[in-house]
Amino acid sequence: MTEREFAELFGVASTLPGANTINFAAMLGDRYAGLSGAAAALAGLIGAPLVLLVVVATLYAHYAELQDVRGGLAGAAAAAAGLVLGTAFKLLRGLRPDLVMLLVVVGVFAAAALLQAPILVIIGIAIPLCIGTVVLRNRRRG
Amino acid sequence: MNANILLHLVVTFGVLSLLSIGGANATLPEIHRQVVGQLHWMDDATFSHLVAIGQTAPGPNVLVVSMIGWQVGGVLGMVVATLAIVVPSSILALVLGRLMTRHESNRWVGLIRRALAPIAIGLMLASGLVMTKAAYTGALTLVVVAGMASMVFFTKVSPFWGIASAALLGIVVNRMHPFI
Repeated sequence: MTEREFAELFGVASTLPGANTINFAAMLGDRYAGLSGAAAALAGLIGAPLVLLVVVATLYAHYAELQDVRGGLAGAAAAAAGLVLGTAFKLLRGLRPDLVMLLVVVGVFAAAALLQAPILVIIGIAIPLCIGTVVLRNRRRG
Repeated sequence: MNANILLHLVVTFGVLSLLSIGGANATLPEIHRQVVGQLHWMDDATFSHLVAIGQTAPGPNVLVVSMIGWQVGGVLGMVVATLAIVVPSSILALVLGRLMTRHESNRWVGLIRRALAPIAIGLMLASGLVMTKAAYTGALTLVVVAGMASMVFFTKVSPFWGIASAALLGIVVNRMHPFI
C-alpha cells in the first residue's frame, strides 16, 4: 500500500464513527482478505490488550480500597482528563476554525457537558447543520 | 450473570458505537450520563478510576468501555461491552470502505471530515470536563488537569509519562495529607 493510499484510508477511518485505529484495521483487513481478514485484524488489535486489561481489572478489584491505590488512581484520573482536554485543544488548533466552526464546538460542548443532552439529540442536530454549511459554502465557492 | 445487564450493555454501547464521532473519548459524556446518572451503576470516583485505567492501558481507547463493562458484568460484561462498541462501527466502516471507490471518496471525505471535526472536538472538550468533575478531589485535581493538558498541547512528550507522574503525585500527596 502506498503512502497516499494509507493517508486516504486513514482519512476515511477517522471520519466515520468509532475509533480510527479500529476502523482502519477493519477496512485494511477487508481489503486484503475479506470479511475474515477484517475479523482477524480486529481480533489482533483488541485481543491482547483485552487480556491484559482483565489482569489489571482484577488487581483493581482486589486493591481498590487501599489508600495508595485510591491516591494513585485519583492522580491518574485527573491526568486522563487533562489528556483529553489537551488533545481536543490540539485538534482545534490544527483545524484553524472559522467563527461558525467555533460556534459549533462551543454549542456541542455546552449541550453535552452543561445541559447533559443525549448524544443522539446533539449529533442529530449538529450533523445536518455542519454538513449543510460546508456543502453550501463549497457550492458558493465552486 | 444478570442477562438484563448484558442486554443493557449491548444496547447502550451498540447504539453509541454508531454515534461515536471522534472516537471513544467523545462518547464519555454520554456514557457518564447513562451509567452514573441514569442507571446508577457506579459513582463518580469509580467511573473516573475505570476511565483512567482504560485510557492508560496499552491499546485503543475503546478499552474505557471494556472497563465499564467489566465493572457491571465481570469478564463477560467486558467482552460484551467491547464487542458492542466495536462491531457496529466496524461493519459501517467495512461497508463504506467497499462502496467507496478512491476517486470519488477523496473530495467527499475531506469535506465531511472538516464538517464533523468541530462536533468531535466539542464532544471531546465535554468529555474533559465530565472527567475532571468525576475525578475531582480538591484543588490538586485542577492543577494536574491543567498541567497535563498543557503538556499535551505544548509538547510532544508521551502522555504515558504525564499519567505516571500524576499517579505518583497522587500517592505521595495522599500519604502526606489524605484527601480521600
